[in-house]
Amino acid sequence: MMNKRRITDYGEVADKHSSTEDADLRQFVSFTIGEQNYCVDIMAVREIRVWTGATNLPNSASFIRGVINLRGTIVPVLDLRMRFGLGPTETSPGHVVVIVAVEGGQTGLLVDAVSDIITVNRKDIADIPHIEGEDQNPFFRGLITGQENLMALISLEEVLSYRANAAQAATAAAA
Amino acid sequence: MIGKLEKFKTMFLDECEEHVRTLEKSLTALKNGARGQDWVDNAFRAVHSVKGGAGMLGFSRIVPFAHTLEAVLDAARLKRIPITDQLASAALRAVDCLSDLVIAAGKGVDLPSGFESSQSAALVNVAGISITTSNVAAMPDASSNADDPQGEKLQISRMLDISFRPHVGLLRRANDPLFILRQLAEMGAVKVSADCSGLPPLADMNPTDAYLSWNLTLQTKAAEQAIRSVFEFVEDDCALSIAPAAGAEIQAVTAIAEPAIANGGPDYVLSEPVLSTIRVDLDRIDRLVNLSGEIAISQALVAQLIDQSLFNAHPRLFQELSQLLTHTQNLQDSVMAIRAQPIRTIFERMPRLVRELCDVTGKSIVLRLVGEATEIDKTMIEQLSDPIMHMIRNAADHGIENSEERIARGKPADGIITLRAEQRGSRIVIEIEDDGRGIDREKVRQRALECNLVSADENLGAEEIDHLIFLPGFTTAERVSDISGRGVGMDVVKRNIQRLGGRIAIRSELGRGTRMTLTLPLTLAVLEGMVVRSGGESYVIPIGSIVECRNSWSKDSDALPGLGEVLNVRGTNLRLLHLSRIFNIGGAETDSQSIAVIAEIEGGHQIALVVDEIVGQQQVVIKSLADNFEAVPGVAGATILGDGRVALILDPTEIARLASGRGASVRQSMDFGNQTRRNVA
Repeated sequence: MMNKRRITDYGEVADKHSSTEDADLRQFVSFTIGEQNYCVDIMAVREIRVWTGATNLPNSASFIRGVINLRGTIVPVLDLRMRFGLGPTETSPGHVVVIVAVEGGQTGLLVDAVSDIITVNRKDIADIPHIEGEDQNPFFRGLITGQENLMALISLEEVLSYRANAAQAATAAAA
Repeated sequence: MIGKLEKFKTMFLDECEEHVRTLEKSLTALKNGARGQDWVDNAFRAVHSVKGGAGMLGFSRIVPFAHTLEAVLDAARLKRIPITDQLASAALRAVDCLSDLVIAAGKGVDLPSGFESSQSAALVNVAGISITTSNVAAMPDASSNADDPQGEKLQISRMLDISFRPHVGLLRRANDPLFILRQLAEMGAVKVSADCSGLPPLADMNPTDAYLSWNLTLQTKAAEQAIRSVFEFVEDDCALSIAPAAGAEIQAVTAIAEPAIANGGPDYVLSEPVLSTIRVDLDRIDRLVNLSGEIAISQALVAQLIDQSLFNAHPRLFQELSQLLTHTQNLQDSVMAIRAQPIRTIFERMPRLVRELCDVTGKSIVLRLVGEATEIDKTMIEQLSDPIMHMIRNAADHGIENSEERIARGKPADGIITLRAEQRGSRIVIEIEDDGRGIDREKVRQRALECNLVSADENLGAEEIDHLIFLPGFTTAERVSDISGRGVGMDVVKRNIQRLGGRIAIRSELGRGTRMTLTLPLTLAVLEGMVVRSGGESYVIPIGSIVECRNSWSKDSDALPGLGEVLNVRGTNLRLLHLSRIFNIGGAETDSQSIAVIAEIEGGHQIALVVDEIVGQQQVVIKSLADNFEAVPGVAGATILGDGRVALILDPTEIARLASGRGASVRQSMDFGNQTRRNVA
């Protein structure tokens, strides 16, 4: 129930902004990890919680920080810094978990701090510059310019793709 | 309108399911020698309802077949033909066929023509009566009324929207709208609203003109014809429309119960018997379960926050708080009880399966059902059906011998499969037992060797051999029959049972039979657990699997080369496993104070699991990790402790497996880090 209400809350926020403006505008929740700025689509964000610790999951991937209780459901928390290959987050009570919902369930993203809700024009979302001979970082979908800082737009599908991978590997092993 | 009709169809199909069960139950009783009039009457009524409903909704395929069955049962009911075992058997087979017809109708599938004719012919043949089938398909309503001795009206109760708009001159022809409305009220529950929009200003009003119109919602079983006849005299003086109501589903449901009262008559309602149940989305119940769990947690936190001095100052606070505690506990229990359902739902599907298996295998098998009233979690009921069916198929195909072989072995000609359910403490035990040939261990071993599932030099005990059949890829069937040996093996059954938190055990005696025992938790939702700590984290071990706990155990432990550590418990060496090592938890277990929990694992073995300390025993609500994440090896699920934190529920069997490295492949597949991601990209 609560989740649903929150979704509409966000929906209303989005509506208020977009109703007076054109369809090219999208909203994102921006946050920081270290000096870097990142953002995710606001429609995927369910809520933002203060870090209060998580229960460790044995033998799980290094970037899985553990699980937390989100009003009765068990939600995994993913250390985004670790996921990006920047080492583990040294947590403090000031750290924040952004709960996002995608197909297949909810996941918490552990980040340093949430900065803002930003409205971005589609034309201000640039492609990730491709450097010859180097693997493209799959976790980013684009760069947001025109804001105070340059921001990387996170592809949640890629960040959360470990589930699909694990499932594929399991089927492959079984076959 | 179409949506409405669909809804009636769904209702009809649901009801048919109930009627088919009634038919099966009654006819099975008759077949087993019961001769009470009630049984025949019940069966007759059920098939009568199916026929009537099918006729109403235009399922022309069902009607003639149901009519035949109905005619036979009617003859039996009026004692025109004797009730014999053969008759009951033929009728049972006809019911199977009827059920297929209903399912096909529900799915909109066209069965091949003549699908039902052999059953129909066989039934008529056994009954030895002739049946007039003329007009049955064409005029289902008329026929069902005509050959109904009590003249029962067989009509489904439904909601109708009636719009009655008199023309200006209606009153002048001596018609009284009130009279019409009263007549309608006699046909069922009616809601009338007057539409005054046609009223002119008072000055312009002509007292002999009709200005008002009415919108009615009528809940009735009467045919549209009957309703229209009420308007017979005003037909030309009004605009009339009668249509199925576009309303909430709940109206359609309440429509079942009320008209009988409104009419006060003994009219036979299609949906009888009226059940005082509602269908609720499982998600909603889960939400309730979650919420009641959260209430309990919040309450515990509040209790902790309240200072002792506050209690002293307000003695009633303590009183009220403990009252609240009791209520919350009751609330939780009640919410859990919503999920419980009798296992009958599964058991009732099995007689038909066995009948079909008898036909296919040519064997003679009697199915005995025991403990159908045992209640079990609804989710489990849904997931148990397939495994149980599979095991019954196995029992019928591999277990039970054919009659000649049985007689040659000095057994009764009829094989017996017993399906039994009972509650033992906090667990439900389901047994599938046959008195067939049992497991031929030498053959199983041979087969396992051929399939490379064991090596030749492995020395296997009887029980271990029996458990080989649970290995993936194992089948003893030399030929793949229609029934079993199709590749879906016992390993799938075992996995399904394990997913439900259950265990499966097998006991077999060559020549005497086989017994499969499923042990399942009472509910998927709650577990009696022992809370332990290891490396700063809390874990829950299911109490059902704990044999004992030992402190200062290290003097009895020993390291055996190649076998790892063992713990000697009263002369038996158990594998000694350190939870912190298996789970890679840092900073745990100073050996002097840690505790060894002796836990039973699958196959009757025991392990000793070393943890830091034991916190206590409590009931925990089981939550799934896989909902938002994925299954974690060694972990059966998670729960939320009194402080609101998550604790993992351990699965001792899987932990033992993890320790012996069999879980390694799973672990590897779990460990998908960045490097793998790169490779894929």
